[in-house]
Amino acid sequence: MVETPTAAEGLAILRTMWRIRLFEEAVEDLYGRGMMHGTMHLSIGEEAVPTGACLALKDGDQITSTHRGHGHCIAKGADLGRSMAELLAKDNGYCRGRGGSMHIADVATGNLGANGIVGGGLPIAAGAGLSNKLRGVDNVCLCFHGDGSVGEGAWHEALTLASMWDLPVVFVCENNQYGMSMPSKKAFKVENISDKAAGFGIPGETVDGNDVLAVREAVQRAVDRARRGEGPSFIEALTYRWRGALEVGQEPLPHQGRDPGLARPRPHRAMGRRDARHRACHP
Amino acid sequence: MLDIELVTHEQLDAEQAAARQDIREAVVFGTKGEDPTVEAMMAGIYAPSPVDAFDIAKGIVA
Repeated sequence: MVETPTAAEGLAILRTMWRIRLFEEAVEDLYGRGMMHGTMHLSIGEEAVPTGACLALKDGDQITSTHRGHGHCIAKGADLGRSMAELLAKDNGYCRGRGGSMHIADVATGNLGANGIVGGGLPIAAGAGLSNKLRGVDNVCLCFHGDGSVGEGAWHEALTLASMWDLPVVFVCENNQYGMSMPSKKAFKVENISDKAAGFGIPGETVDGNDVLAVREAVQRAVDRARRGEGPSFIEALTYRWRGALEVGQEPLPHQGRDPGLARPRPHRAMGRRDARHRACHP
Repeated sequence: MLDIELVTHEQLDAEQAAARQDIREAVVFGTKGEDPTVEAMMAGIYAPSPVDAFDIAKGIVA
């Protein structure tokens, strides 16, 4: 049974999700106008995963992120202005404009960085977990990664070490159903990616990644377990990205593209100019 | 939250508006920022080397 938040908690959760959604819509706009450069990976539709997961963290905990990491950064507490400046390659950005979208980091809030290499954050998370353990602190590292990274060697290496050394790491797999254009159902024989965790001796769980409270609850259990020194956990959050892998992807599938909770029944309360298109795709 | 009457449409509107304002301010902050200088962009690209092979190759040092 998912615990119901208070009104204040619920509004705070929604505000974070709105900030992620609107930040990315602004980024999409600026990128489309040629004001941002490089490659842009949006996580519109996936806001509930980072928002719910980061609710389970405390100050001092860390995250590692992915190439699709704006939501992780914001949910972990990044300043929106410095984040936007970083994506615009400005000197007042988090990395003085040299990291950009795929390598933004904010160590002060425990964001160890996005990573342009698919699966690149996994060994870093294992390393952060080892550091936490050796230093004797109760911090936990939350490792966001996508379903596309599950076939990478780094995924297996990180889970192996985290398991063998009982590292305080929570692996959060954002399964948005596609690795580039490859459906995850064609990439893995198992029903759930979380089933793979059993092979490493790590407890695995699959949750509805579009249910922010379900994500929070699952990650909280895993974080508590890690803080108790009982080792890593693996959570697969089923979600869906509404944009293509690189802004040129497949059409959303109606049964998978459910809104994570930001759409409302009143049409005139639309969030932005693209809501009409989303509703048409996701009745 | 609407279904269980935890919050009202008006409260959601207010949160949405607040978030939108946050993003507006972020866009202004970002777009008004200075471009990094060339010196700043070039700094830290290469780690210091105990043996500066470039200088050796160019005959700058023995």
